[in-house]
Amino acid sequence: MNFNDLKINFIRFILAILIIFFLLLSFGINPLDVTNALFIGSFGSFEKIIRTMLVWVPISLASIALIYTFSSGMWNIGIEGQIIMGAIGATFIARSFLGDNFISPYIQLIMALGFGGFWGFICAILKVKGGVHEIFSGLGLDFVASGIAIYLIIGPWKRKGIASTSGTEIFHESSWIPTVGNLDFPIFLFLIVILVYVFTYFLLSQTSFGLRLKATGINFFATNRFNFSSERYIIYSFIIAGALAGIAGFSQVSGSYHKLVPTISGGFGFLSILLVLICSRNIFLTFIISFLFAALIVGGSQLQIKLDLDHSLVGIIQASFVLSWLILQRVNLEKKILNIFSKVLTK
Amino acid sequence: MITIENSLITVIALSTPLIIAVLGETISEKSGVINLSAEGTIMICALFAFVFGYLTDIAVVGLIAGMILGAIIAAFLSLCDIKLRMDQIAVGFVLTILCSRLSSYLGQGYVRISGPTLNKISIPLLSDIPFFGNILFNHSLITYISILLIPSTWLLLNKTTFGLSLRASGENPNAANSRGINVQKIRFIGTLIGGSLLGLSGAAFSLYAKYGWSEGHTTNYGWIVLAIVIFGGWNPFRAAMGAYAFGLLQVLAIKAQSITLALSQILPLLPFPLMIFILIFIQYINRKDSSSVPLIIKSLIGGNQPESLGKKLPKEF
Amino acid sequence: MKIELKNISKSFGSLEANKEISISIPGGIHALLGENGAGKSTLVKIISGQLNPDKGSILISDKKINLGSPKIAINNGIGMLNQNPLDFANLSVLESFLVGNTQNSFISNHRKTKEKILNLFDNYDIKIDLNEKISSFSIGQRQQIELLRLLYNGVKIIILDEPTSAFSLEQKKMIFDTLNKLTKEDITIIFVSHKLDEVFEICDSGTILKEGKVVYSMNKPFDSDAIFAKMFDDTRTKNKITNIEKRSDKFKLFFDELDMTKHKTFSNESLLDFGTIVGIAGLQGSMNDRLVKNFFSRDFSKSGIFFDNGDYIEKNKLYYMPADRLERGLFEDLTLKEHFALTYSHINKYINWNDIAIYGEKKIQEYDIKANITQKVDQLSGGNQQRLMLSLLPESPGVLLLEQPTRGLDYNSANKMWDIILHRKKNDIAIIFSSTDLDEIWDYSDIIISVSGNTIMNIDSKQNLNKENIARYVSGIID
Repeated sequence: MNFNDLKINFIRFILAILIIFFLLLSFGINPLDVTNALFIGSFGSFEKIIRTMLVWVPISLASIALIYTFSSGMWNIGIEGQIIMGAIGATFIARSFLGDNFISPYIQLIMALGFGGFWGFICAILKVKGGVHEIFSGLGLDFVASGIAIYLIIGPWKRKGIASTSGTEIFHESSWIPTVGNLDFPIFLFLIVILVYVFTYFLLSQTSFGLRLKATGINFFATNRFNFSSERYIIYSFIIAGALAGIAGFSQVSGSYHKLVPTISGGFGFLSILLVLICSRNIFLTFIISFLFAALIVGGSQLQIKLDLDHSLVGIIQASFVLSWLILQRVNLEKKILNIFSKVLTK
Repeated sequence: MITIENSLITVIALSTPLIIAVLGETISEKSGVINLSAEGTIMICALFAFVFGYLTDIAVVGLIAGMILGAIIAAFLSLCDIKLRMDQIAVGFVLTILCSRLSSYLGQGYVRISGPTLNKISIPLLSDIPFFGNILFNHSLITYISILLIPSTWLLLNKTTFGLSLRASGENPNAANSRGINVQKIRFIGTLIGGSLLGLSGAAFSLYAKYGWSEGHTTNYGWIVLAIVIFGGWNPFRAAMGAYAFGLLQVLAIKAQSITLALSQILPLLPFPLMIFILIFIQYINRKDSSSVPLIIKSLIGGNQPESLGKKLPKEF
Repeated sequence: MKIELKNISKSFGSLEANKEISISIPGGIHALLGENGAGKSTLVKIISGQLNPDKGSILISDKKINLGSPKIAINNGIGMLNQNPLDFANLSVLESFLVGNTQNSFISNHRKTKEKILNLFDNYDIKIDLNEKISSFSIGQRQQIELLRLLYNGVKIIILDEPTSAFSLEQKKMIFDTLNKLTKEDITIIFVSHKLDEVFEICDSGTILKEGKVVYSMNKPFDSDAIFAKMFDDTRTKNKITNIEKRSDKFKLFFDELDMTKHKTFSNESLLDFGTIVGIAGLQGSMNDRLVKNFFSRDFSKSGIFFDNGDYIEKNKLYYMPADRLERGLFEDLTLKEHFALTYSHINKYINWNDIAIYGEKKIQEYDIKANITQKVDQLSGGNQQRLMLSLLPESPGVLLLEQPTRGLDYNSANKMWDIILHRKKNDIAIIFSSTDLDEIWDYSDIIISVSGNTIMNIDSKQNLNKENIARYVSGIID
């Protein structure tokens, strides 16, 4: 990203925020109050920062997952299902004989990778071999995954005595993602995310694999001339995306809830689709915006306490931010503003 | 016998909003536009319809309000598609999230309160027919509308010049343009009609089938609509059958609750794997020599997927 | 129906596509001939209302018509049959007929229109079920249906833009029969074509365009020698081929039986020297491009290139360059640098962008590409894109498979391309290229394959041929 892109993105960001402020005003809400409450809610104390990080982890993982499928030109709407499958994979280990062993989280991670990757692979195969549009197969697989989760929760994995959709038994503590000292912060998870960021950045910008992925997304038909197959790279991208989404599911199940619940994905998959619409392949932007979105979610609890505003306002802010961004990107207002600025400055 | 009769009445009532939405989405998709905002549109229109009905105490006002809001959302989506040339899938998806959150936020004051509802209107004479009379001719206005909409949609698409232009635009915009059709306008109108039906469907939920409002009142119905449209192979009659089948599934799920909880939770998800199978099948007959597939199977689970569904319009016009 | 074009001129920037073109067609079938870039398609677009000319007028039955709108052209009875049928695969024949037809009421009265259409079909001896889907017909039948649709809409002048390029012989016959019947009903047909055999077969009069001007007008009976001379005359000078010493290594060109339905003069056992240039001559729309690609991906037959010991030449030694640059050749959103990196992506897992930049700069100089290495390729001109495609082929010796390497390039760019290609001749195993320009084929090839439509008409080395022979082969006229 060069300096000019940075300037344009910055102006776009400000404009989108202004639009949201205007929207809030039209609801009769003081946007500055909201900003303040959200900030305090997400960064106000050490504990809150850690909560923000815990939300940031799965959002980041899911968003990076989507960067891979976005690169190969695919709409991975099946990400929710991939998260759920990852969570199921992890739960499977947590409930097995390994559940009370300290090694459990690490095996869970591998299982989550595998389950999520497999779910992504199905979507890819349906696309490449079956010719099914990835939106429909993704959507279908989301619901199938959620069906499997519900079945497990109220069927084989039900709590003793009661079958209810409120979730499975809480995992044995050995199966929780280990935290450091008194803090509730799972440093292991944090390291994984940082690693994934760095690795993805490296893979996409410095390797042939990343370049080929991007090329596949741009022109499906020109790749065979460069001795590789578009179809194969589409499959790769879905497997990687599914695997990363699987880790996000693992983070949810063993880092946050410590049990499997039907809504285990927290809607983070769909939220990440919103995110990647803005960020496309830009890793830095993904890092920043995913943090912002996580802060919004965690800070949202303060809206209720401080301002008596419903938590759903956060979703409205996120979605309208993305919508404004997309439209601004299309009408290219930023360039005009930049031109006016430079004219004023040169005078 | 009483239970069967009651169950069938419930099936028809529950299917009412779905049929309307499925027909709307079919029209939209036939013009080449996947309205991915269905989930959000239905949700927020359900709220709006309920609020307007509540404020005026006239249920029909609610229906109209829902329809108008649905049309407005569709107009927004369509303008992003044909004027700004944005990705219709991206915009639709964002709209779904935005509208569902908006409905949660704006609907806070209306959760579980009672408002007007659409009364049952018994059709004289016909409703007196034993068994069938009660099942078919003792429903609310919106149910009759939904039933009338099925052949009307079919007629609109297949027997009018407008419907033909709409399908032509969804098949091959370039060719349609060369025949002097204003493809942008047709797409806009198609999306608009589709959206207003999605809105009406939301209204049918909150004013009739799932009376009242609560947060996430129509959750997942929009996605199911997308699945049923494919299940129906973009044919109004088959799509309506799909919607009734789903209504039946829901009733079975309720009945199953007393037997096994798992089954009742999972049955409503059945349309999604079915959707995938149908899509695989459609691709299969498109690729292979389709003569090897029996005609009956083809007409039951085949389908006419619009050729340029979800694609951006060509740059030239 | 008489149609007259008067002093039609149209330029795009500095390019004069049509210069003072005047043609008068009293009726019948009129051929519009000319090479690529002669100005045919511009003229056709002006007649059908898709383009507004800078100057000039069109008269139909001595009445001046308005120009520049397809709708007005349709209302004046001008219809166009595109190269590919512009119809709706998923609609029924009846529906496809009615699309855009607004003379019907809101609810279209199917029974009456059905009868009218069936009558029309009967008149032309065509048996088609109106409820059948368009997709179940062959391309030839679809073109026929399109033709009848134009008639149904009351068209008086029909432009056919190379409609037969994808046809089999029988399909062609069907269309020609229909066309002949049409002329008896005072319908004028403008037949745009490259294929002289077809022109001789059905046309009554014709015009040859060259560089935007009318160079020859003709009437039946045609003087084929004069037409050949006008169409294929050689006035341009090409770059000289420096004599390259003979190389002792040999390769074999193997042709599948499937591809060799006509003349079998060429033996599959003939050994060719390394560095041989094989030119595949054919008119636009013929199989010449597909034949080039088939050596790369074996789409339709097993024809291929072998070493003299019978071993296949490995796939990674086949360097293929498609004719459509942005559709199949390049990635429009990638920079030049990324393209260079992609070329070596099968060798290097990690990309050293500095090395790539140095390598790329070198290539840009060497191939005379006027662009910055960080530019995206869609900002490049056609010639630069073409040279970039060539520069992306690996340096190590291989078989160059080039589809129309100079398509759409101006004279200088084309010459530059050939400088580069000839430079590679020294090291490469073989160079196989297709072209619609017979001069280009003649100037550079050692072996010439002539194709017409989907048939290989002749394979021979240049010594045994002359230019006129090739022109006859590719036009489908065999002596």
